[in-house]
Amino acid sequence: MALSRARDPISARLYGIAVHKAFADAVKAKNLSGIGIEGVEQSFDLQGLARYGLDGSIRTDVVLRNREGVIIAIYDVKTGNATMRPSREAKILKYTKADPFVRVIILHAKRGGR
Amino acid sequence: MSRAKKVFKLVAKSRPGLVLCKDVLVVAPTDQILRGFVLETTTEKNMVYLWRVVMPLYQPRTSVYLDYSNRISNGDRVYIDPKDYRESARAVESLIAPHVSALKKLSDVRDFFRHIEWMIGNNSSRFRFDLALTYHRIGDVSRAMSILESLPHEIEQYYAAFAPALRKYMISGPNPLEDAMRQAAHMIAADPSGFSGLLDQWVQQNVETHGLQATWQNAAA
Repeated sequence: MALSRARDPISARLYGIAVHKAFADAVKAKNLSGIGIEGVEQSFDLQGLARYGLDGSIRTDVVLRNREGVIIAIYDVKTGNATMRPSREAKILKYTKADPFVRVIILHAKRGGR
Repeated sequence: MSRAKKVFKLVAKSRPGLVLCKDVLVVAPTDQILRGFVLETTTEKNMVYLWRVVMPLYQPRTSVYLDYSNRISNGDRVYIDPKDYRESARAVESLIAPHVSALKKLSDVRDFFRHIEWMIGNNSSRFRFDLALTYHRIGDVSRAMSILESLPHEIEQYYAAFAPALRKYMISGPNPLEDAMRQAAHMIAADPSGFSGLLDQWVQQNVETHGLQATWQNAAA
């Protein structure tokens, strides 16, 4: 996945937002089996699927489910050299109620990459 | 007043049967199932997701959860013009209009059961908890008992299956929903005939929490 480097540099934060939006739009446009339009940009808290920005909630980039709605993979887009700490991974798994075999797959967007 | 309230208040004015309760545009009347619409903020300024909400009230959540709800407008973000809420309300109204009659048809617990039936086989404790309570409400007490009695063990097994490095974070902190699952498991075993009372209590808590009194079917009772 790539987003061309702008002639005028933008902040890392804005770049991150732009990448996430472009990725979300691209995945939704493909309407992939097990993801569809629903499995993109979903937030969760301890109670279940939640609205973005709710106190204590986490946001996933893409969630892949089987035909009973069971989560089988979670994709997380990272820009720059961002990584994921175990505490963050644990929170995502706990809030999504994903099974122990489910992996949080990190997708690195390289700035200026093709 | 929040953006959602401003927009939904205008929609409710022009659509009888839709009532603004806190920030949820509710399809009245409400009984065991909350039906309505919510706006969800996105990372893009003035863009929101629009959800068609279906949520059982006979469970102890403290906020609107969307496990059985869908994004409408084909999952696209919807523009809300902060300088023209009337126009935004008209746009939102046209997007929700086709969904109102479908929500009206989802009026009781049996309808809700049909709505979630495709998920049977989903082993998440949250879904199994909701399924068990739904079974109980439609009179299938033995299925409800079977699920509820196994939930506390399933919760333990779930966490035990994770590597210690992750598990230590997963089991830390309070988890009121899992406490409620254990409470329900204990109660249905100890006092099966009184179990309905617990669900009625959770319904009433939700009516108050979500400000649903104006749409509550039994308000006059």
